[in-house]
Amino acid sequence: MKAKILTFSPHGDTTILEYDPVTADIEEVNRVIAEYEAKTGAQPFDMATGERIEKVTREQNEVLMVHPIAGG
Amino acid sequence: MPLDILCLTIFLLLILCRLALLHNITLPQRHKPNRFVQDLHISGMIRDACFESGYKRRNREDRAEAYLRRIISLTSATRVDNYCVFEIGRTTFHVHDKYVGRLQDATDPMCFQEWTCFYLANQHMPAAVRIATALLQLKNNPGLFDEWLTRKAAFRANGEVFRLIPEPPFGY
Repeated sequence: MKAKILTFSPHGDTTILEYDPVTADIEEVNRVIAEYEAKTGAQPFDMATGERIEKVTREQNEVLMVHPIAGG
Repeated sequence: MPLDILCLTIFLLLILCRLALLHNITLPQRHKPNRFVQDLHISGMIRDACFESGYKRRNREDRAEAYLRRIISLTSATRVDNYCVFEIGRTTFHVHDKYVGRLQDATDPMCFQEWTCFYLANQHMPAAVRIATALLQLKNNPGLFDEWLTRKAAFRANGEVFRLIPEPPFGY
């Protein structure tokens, strides 16, 4: 089974990264997430629990990058 | 002699007429598309284009809606028409696609509801995506509401300021 890093987009959702959670280099996955977070401000949420996560582990199969919200 | 010339002229004219007639009959006809068929073809193209854009829009809205449904179940929110209601302790949030209401103590009849607008960086996100994003963020960090209410900035889900929103020019 493949794991996915997704984000909301004007199409509903967009896959940023797809990987095999058993064999993938999780450090590399976290590096991609960190780069995306630095660029967009989006932070990772586990779609199984709805909780924000600091680091992705092999247990997460679907991670949603949630973009910042501005108030006003 | 003049009679010979006259006969020859008539003969040549007859041959020319015959040739012209034959030419007219045997010339390959240029293909002129039937107007009705042409109209049908154009209306088919228009129909296809409308169907495709409608399908894409439908597909995009369906995908956003599917995410919203998942997030509603993750956050234990309730859908009411085109907005969502969810509770954390005594606090109740009403999440619309562009604004959020907060009732800090639903049991207190004197408690009034506060409202604030919110924006995503991408203005083209479907309404379902905007609601889903706000639901997820408020569920994880209800204090974000106070930040949205008081500060002109874009906040990450953990409450950090991502980007300050510049003040509009004087007189705007």
